[in-house]
Amino acid sequence: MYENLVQAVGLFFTFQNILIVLAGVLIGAVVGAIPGMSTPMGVALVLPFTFTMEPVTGILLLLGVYKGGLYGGSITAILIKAPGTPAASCTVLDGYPLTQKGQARKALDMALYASCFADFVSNMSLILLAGVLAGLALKFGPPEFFTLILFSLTIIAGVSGDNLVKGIASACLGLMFAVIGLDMVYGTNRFLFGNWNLMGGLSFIPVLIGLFALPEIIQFFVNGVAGRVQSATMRGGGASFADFKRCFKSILRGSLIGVGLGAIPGIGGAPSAFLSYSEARRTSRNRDNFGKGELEGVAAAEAGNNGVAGATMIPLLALGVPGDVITAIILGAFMIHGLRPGPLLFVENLSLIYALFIGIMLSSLYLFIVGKFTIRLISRIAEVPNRILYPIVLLLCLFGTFAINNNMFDVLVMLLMGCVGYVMMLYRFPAPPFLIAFILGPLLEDNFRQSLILSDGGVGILFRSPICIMFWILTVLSVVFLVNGRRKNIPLSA
Amino acid sequence: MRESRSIGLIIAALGLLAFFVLIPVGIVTPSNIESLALAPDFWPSIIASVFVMTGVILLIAPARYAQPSSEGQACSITRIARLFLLLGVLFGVYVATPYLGLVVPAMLMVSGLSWLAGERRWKFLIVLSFVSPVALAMFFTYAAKVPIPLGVFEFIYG
Repeated sequence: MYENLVQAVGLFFTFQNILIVLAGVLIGAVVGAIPGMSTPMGVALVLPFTFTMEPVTGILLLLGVYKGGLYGGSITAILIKAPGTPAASCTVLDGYPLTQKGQARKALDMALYASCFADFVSNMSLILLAGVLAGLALKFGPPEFFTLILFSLTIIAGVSGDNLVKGIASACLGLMFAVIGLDMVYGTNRFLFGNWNLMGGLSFIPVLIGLFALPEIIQFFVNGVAGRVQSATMRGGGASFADFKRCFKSILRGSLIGVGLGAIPGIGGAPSAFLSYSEARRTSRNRDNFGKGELEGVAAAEAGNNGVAGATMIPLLALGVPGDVITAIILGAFMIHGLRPGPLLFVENLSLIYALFIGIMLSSLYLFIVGKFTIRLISRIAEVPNRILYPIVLLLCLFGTFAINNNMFDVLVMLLMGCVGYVMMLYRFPAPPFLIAFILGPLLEDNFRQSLILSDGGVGILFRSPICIMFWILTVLSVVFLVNGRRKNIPLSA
Repeated sequence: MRESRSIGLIIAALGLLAFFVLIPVGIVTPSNIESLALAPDFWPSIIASVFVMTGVILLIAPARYAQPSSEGQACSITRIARLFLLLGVLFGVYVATPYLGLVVPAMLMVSGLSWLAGERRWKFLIVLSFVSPVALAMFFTYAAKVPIPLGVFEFIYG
């Protein structure tokens, strides 16, 4: 372990890595602050720039964008009542009333302190728990992985928005698109129709960019929205240590709620923020002030929201399954760099894991620095009109997609996926289930078929061990919980 | 409700098309398969079946899954025209790139789309549409070592 730690320090502490985490957090905060740009879109656009980087550097850049994006969403939520991310919608409840009262600076400061503290707690949980979980997962064979991935697919219920059936249909499309290419067992063609560009399957990035960036842009141009931006005002004094102390209980509770919910695939930041907020309101002495501009409300919402960031990485690093759509994209990034997250990564590449941990801890510090010193600049950038922003984003899509394999076929795939994504958006089919199924589909099929090969075709192998049975039970419980939550209108994030 | 039913019908039809046409035609299945579940078309068939089921659910219980239509999404000639114009620009870039490189079509795309979206400051538009593609091309060419097709800017490679 000591040797790995020394190697990790050597692997991480390069000038490039130290700067890249800062750049990631800054980019994420800007992207998160721009209404209409989502954090997954930001991560997708940055992904092509990581191809030529070392794996640690590239993945840290993406993690920085993720963490910055979670915080950035709260800036416009507080200043102009326009949450940059779904998870920041809870911050609006008290953040915007505080701005109206002339206390925007105080709200932004508290959002930052709560975010950084929750992020730190979440990162610590990742460092302490991921290795333990990975150790257990070393005993997994194909049947265990099949049931685990099946359980992970219940994320789809969480990211399906307000229509589960459409979410499942979207996931089916994703699974079907993932089938394209050569068959894993027999090596025969599947849906190639004579096009040899498809032999290796559809590349992940054109599908990702097509689904997450293009539909928003098409929608903007088709609607002909002028893109007027409300100006942000930052007034009043900042939050004091006394304010932080007064809100500390809610921040700590929110952080732990975030860790607990973040580690479960499919829950995400929004329910965590709302649960943390409702718990704070239930127990606060100022509960009557919640919704009218209560600082503790901002703290609780942001702690719940940011507490998930490190925790969603636990299932990703330890088991190789993503906790939400952004970690699904990061899983894709690992694969692009020739790495497969999961228990074996802890055995074969522990120094890389430790280097990532160092970078993740550093990102908490950077989050604080970025929030403290660049917030005024970020709120100005967020005012860039969409008529300028979207053509530039389109340009990034174009160059980024071409750069994957240096061919225009990927660009064509991106454009076609953009059309598919736009039609899905028009008829309210959620895109995240498509993407998650597209990534997990081949793993699910692969482990399913490997299990059947091991058992000479008998499906009983899928119930062979207590671990398999546990995941079957968890899958059923997860579906029941998520469907019931949906009936009771508990908000589930995208 | 009517929209939900139509969507259900389309999904069910697409699923059936996949099950009865695309899978048999598009997937090559060897004759010596040991188990049905190991066949290359087993998994896609399961997916297509679930897809058909989701369509049927939307078809038979549309009220339960109906959603309010999106704001501002009414069909109009202007919207359709803008959609086709945008798609024309995007696919135009794809078609033109093998001949002109990626930079020139990208410049035209940025200026055209910014103008379409309402930007009328010509000087700003010219600078934006020139600088942004060139800067990206330089980044990918020199920093990322990705040979971007430059067309008339090919001299940059030296």
